[in-house]
Amino acid sequence: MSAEFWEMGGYAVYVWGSFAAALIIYVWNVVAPRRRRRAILGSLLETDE
Amino acid sequence: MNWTWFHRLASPPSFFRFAERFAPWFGGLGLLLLLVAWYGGLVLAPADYQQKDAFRIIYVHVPAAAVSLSLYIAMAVCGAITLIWRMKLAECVLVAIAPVGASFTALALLTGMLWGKPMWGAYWVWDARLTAELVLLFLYLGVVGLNGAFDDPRTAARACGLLAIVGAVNVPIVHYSVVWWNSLHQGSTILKFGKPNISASMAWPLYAGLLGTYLWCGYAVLRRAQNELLLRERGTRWVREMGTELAGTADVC
Amino acid sequence: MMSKRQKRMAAVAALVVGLALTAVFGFTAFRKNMMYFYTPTDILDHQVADDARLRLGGLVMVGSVKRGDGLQVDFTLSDCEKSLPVRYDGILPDLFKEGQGIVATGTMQNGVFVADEVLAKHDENYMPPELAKSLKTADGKHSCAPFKSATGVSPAPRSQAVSSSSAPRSALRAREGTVGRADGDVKGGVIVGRDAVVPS
Repeated sequence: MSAEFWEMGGYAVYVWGSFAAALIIYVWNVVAPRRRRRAILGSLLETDE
Repeated sequence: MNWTWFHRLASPPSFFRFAERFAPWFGGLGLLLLLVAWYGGLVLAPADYQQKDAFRIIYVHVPAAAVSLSLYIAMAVCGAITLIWRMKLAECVLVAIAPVGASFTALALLTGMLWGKPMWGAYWVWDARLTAELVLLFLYLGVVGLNGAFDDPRTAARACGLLAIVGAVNVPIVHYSVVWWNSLHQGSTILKFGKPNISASMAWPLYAGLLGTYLWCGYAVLRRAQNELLLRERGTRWVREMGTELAGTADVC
Repeated sequence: MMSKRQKRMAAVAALVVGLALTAVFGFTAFRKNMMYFYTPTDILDHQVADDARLRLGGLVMVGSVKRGDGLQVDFTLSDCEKSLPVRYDGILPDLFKEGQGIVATGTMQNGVFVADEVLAKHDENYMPPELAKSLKTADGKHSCAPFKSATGVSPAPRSQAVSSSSAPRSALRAREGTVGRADGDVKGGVIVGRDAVVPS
């Protein structure tokens, strides 16, 4: 990618800042329920045995 | 009226299996659409005549703002079902939506601030649109907090349902604030009657991003609702069976 | 006799209806207070105290921008009905230009609005620069529809809008809605579907 692309016409901080924030939120929305499921399944097995 | 079909449809094990089958599709398709949308928005779409490259923030801001309102409506509907029919599944979905909605409302506010500074000249102004969206965030956080404040999940869900319904009055205020009152925020580009005010070359990544974000939220809500069902139904036979069935795959899924 | 479920249904319905009515009445009564800014028409039609801080929104009239010493800038702000001279000493937003919608914060001093903050209010139209150029009036064409009179009794739309005394040829012209601002006529007293057009 060219330097021009990363500069975003001088608005790099705002554009890339927004997309970085979005990436964090999108990833969190997948990771958080998965971790919770693992914890719940673990506790279910513990109480079973 | 006979509502038995309604109850059968919403039986916890059948919903759990439905979610188990379809959540991966929601997530996979959502991811595909989002990759296309971000590539299209950042690389392929031309810069705007007025806002130059700063307008590209639209591709994260508008989908986040759209789902923040849609999820709230879904949450309020679950709230009504919870209060009227005392349906366990609606309680789970209600509680599942709140953190997802809160996260996307926060994202809409944050990206809006990052867009407002270079274009308007200010990160934040107290106009009707921005203030109402902030109230929306507090409503979501209120539901999350209220749910955590009760020991009994069923009592908690009823309290949350009431708050969700009361707060629903804010949804049309957010959407129509730019029409009813003077605001610094501009009017709607696509979610309005008539032709969208955006060129096709800039519009398609936005539509892909919207659909992708809805699917992504669908994935998150399904998975969270599954978790709630497992917790509430623990000790029942279907959860025991499901638990051993899923335990082997827990690390991969 | 209603069943328990029907009673709960009625309670929820009553709650929703009650809230909706409260909101409608409340926001109708306080409509003026929900406005982020006033228009030149609002300010000229009403007595405004000299030290009252308020926000003024409108379009920067073409040909009215005069740069002074340092950062000082003078321009005329219009809502397609009336216009007010504005003076500002500070950094302007990137989008500031003639024909652009802006919101200024400040006070009225001897008929001049002295601003200490100027924010850009851009429109919701997005297009590539080539397309904007090919549209004859695209650059600088901004609708007056987003600048609604807070008092709700703006005068009947006039065919000829205000013109800048210094550059009458390139002044804002009122035209029947081309951008199709369907939201322009949502509330009574709103300026309906007209654009400020800059002849190219």
